[in-house]
Amino acid sequence: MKKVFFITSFILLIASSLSFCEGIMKFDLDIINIPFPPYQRNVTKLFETQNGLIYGIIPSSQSCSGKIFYFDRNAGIHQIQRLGDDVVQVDSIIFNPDITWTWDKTFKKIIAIDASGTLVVYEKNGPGKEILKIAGTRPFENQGFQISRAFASDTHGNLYTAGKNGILFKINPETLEVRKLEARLPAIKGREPWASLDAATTGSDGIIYLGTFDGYIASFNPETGTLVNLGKPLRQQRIQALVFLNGVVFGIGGEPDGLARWFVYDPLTRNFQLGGTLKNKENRLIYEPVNTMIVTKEGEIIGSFSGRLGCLFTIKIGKEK
Amino acid sequence: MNGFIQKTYWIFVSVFIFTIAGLTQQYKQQYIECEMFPIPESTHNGSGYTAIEVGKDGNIYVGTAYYGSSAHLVRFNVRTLKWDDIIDAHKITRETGTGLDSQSKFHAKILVDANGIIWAATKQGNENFIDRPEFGENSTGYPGGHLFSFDPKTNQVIDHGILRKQEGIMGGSIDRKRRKLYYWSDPKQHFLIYDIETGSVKDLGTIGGSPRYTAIDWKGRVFGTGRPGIIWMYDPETDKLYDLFVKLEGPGQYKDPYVMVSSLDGRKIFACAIGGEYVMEFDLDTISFASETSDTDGSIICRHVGKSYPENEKKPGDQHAGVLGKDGCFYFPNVIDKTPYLMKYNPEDGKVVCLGIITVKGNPDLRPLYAQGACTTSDGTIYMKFISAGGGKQMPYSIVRFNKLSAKR
Repeated sequence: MKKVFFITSFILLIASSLSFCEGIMKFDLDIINIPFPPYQRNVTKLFETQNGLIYGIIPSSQSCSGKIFYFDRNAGIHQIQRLGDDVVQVDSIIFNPDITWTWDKTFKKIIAIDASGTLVVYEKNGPGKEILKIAGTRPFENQGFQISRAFASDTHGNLYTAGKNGILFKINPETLEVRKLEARLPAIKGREPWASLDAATTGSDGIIYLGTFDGYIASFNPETGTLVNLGKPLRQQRIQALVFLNGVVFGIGGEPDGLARWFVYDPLTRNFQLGGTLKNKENRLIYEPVNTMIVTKEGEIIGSFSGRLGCLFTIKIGKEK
Repeated sequence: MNGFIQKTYWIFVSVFIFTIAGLTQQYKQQYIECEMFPIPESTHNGSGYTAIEVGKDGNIYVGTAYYGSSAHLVRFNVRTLKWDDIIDAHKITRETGTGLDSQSKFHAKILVDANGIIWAATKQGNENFIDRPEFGENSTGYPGGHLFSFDPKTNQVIDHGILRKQEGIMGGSIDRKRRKLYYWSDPKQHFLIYDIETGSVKDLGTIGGSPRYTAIDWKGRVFGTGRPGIIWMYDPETDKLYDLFVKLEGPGQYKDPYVMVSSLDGRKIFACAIGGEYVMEFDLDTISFASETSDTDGSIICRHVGKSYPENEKKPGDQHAGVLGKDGCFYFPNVIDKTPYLMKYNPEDGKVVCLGIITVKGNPDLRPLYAQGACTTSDGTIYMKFISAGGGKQMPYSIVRFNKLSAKR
């Protein structure tokens, strides 16, 4: 009997070790230098077009007017004056670092949250059209509007963001209908005014993953309207960026004054894996927060670090065997 | 025949005497002696860095490192040869952090204001350079380095607070005219400007490097090493940081400098690098804003003015400290295979010479191997700080004195 127990325990131990080993994530970070002078390298928006070109937007600052560039793996980074005619470009919005904005899926409209927390829609050659004020205020803060920093989109092209006390709003860019949903971003009692949407990504099954100002991750099913609080992967506040690839959510979080750390959420196992600080291949630590992150059609993560010497980066993740 | 033997004998004797005399002469030139003054053991655990400067009172102010505990600012009285403990960082700040979270180093250069006020700043020690648990993972965390002032006239110490949350304070240059202190934060390398008049701090963003030495020129511009191959410059007139691409003139490959000191007229910067083959001279009159690379603001010319090591050695060594002498020459130790040479670059004749192997007076067995800071008094005496280490018998953490070495001739 003792022998059977010993053998069974041994097999279980080996099996659990193997499954643990399978879970160790491999992480490769490459830095891509941006050919712009210091203070003119703070890329806040990245997007990929149908032809596979990656476009980036650098907002205006004291040191420079706004910049648009495209990034081609073979030809490098090139600055351009304007996006194509098929993309609506409103310079006062896309070059303003204090405004949260996104395109609709057709790139014919820009949906923005202005400084006072009002949803505004811009179309080609038209003035902004105010739709609805969604933001609440944050107590004890001078300019305390509770403004989300991200939009999420579902597979139909509807957009989602959070407003007062973390309540989710659904925006139909075609009809400009805005619906206040029942779902609300997670927050501990008293922190609801800080339950803003910092980052979001959509899974291949249509589930949307949301990251909050206080560092919570939640999943949201747009079909059922169900929001599930998945918890806080890091001790720090803030989720800087989220992307979905290879069936997992890859995220980077941490306060601007803290240090960026990465994590992976696996919806199958409902587990977080913590990756620690961001290091490049030379094992040098990345000190500046991440502005934005996307997954290319080729399955590569491209993102940008902020700051005076901000640069682009690529990340490859996978499981180490 | 007798005459021939006599002649040969005298020739032999002469050659022998000249050879011995020559060897003796060479022997005398090979060593340079210094006096050693160990820093009180209660104030450190064996090391300290660039924090050393001479005050207006002629005394030497030294910042120590006490890993895992509280760093101290101590004062060496050059007349009585006695030490005073001026600042116990934890006592003044009332912090109790240990390990990663302690105020365990006065690393930044000690700065002396025109009114004689001494400025010193702390940073963390025991660092985990890769994981940095003090940022967000430790329940406590390093609070951030403090800036202190000490008035030798009144013996008053003031804690001016933390300059940047959770970061240590490094570097250090002072603009006495504008009453500004310049530091950078560790680990994020942000350039910090402290306004002495208002007590306010300005953060200009990352410099892209970790320069232990920063230099200030005659215009009040501050320089340091940034990204590889780049020198950053802060210009107080525009209140901006610039990245300057280094254009090398002379032989060899450019290596980012470790030590940087401003020349007497403030128009050049003398520099040397860890393992660097050449002494460098940055010509500040060559700064150009016609940028030659798209990711910089301009360029600066750096000249390799001479080999950084003695002729009898085949390779450069460790160059961790340097200072400008009163004679306008640049003095720096170069430790090659555990032999500490003292080198001197004279910008007048453009030559680099070896002053000899550093030996300690009364302690011939000691090898002062790792210099971590230096300063020059008004009479040209150079003080250097050496950490506790040794090729044979271990040297205590000390300052050493080269009496009037750089006095004006």
